[in-house]
Amino acid sequence: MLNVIDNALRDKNYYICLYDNYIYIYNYEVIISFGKNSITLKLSDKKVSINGTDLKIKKLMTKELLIEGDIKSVKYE
Amino acid sequence: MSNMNKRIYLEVTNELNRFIKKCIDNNINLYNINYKKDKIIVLIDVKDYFKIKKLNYYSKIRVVKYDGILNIKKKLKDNSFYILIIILSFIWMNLLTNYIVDIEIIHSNSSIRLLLKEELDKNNIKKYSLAYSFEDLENITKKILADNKNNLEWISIKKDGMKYIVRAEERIIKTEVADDKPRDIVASKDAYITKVISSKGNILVRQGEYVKKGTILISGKITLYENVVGTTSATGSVYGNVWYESKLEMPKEIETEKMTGKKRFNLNIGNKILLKNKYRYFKQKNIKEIKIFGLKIKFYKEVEYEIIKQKTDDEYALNRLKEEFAKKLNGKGAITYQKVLKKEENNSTIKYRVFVITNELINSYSYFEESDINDTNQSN
Repeated sequence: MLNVIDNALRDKNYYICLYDNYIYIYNYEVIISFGKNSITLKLSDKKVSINGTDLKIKKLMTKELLIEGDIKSVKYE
Repeated sequence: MSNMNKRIYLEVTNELNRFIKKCIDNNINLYNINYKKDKIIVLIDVKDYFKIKKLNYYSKIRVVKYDGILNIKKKLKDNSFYILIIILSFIWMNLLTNYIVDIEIIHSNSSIRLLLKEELDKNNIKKYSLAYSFEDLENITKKILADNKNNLEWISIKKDGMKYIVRAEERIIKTEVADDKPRDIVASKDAYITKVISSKGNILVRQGEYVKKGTILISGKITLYENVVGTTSATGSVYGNVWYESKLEMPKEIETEKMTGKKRFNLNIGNKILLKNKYRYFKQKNIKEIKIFGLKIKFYKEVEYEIIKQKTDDEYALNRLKEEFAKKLNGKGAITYQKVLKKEENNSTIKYRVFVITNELINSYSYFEESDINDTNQSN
């Protein structure tokens, strides 16, 4: 039952949620680089570059990533 | 519990970025990262701890806090000494309140006090021992009363703090002044006289005589030349051999309990037995019960016995008959001879017909009035 609900909520390969000072990424593949001003990740078919100031990884799990900081932009490459 | 749910907080100093990078590269989950001035606090799975330590040898890593059940376990372990002290204090307090240091017997009569002291000792109510439960005290009270029907009217044992207060009421039996009334001692049953002891009255029978039921054995009438000149209350004991024909039915096989001598102590906490049953047949003895926060704790001794099955023989049957007669005669006689007359075996029982001779007190009293004597004299 819980699996059904989970699949319904997370029916996409990946998703990115943007909050005021946080960014949540689900189902990322790998963190390519990370620094205080920029973090680059690889999603299934794209690269995502998060730019800002004082960026910090708050939560690091196999599929999930939570980044805190003053986010200026999120770019797909 | 698997390590999956066990997590710990680590404090990491030096090379923080390198630490996170290593964790990313090695797929180590960092569930929560708190950034401080020059250090981070991370929550990790316990299973990853040694891996992290090995990979990040350049960082200073130490465990600062345990999460979930591990935290509780750690706290319990760290404070085990204090917890033990608290538990022991409660047990000690409870033991103290369940411990008897004095027994106060309240009664004006010193012989009753002495009797009560002996009875309490007999029933294991002693100083410096654990207190009995209310139910046990009630049972002991009933037992003491039953054992001392003639001396005690009422008894109460109450626990007051660390001592028992024992109160009792003496039984005063008002004996009827029947002893002074003129009477004869007569035979209560047909018998062969074996012994005559008299302190008052006129002995009319001798040892070796056969008497019928109702025969005057010791007369209360004092005679002079066949005339009754006075009366007395005949006093004495006349013993005689009395014969019976008894019927007895016994099972063919009887079970008896035999103590093996093996014993051990056990503990029962809230109806859960600490040591599992070791003996097949056992009895609980010396039960001591205390209550800690409403939880019943019972200490007792398990004494093992075995059940021995044996076939009923004549000797066993005759012994049973002896016991029955001893109960019936109530210390006023005993079996001197017994012989099996007939034995009849059924499917599961054996029927006996036994001839029994007892030597017993055959006294019974027959009271008379002064006027009866005058009539006797006139008729003479």
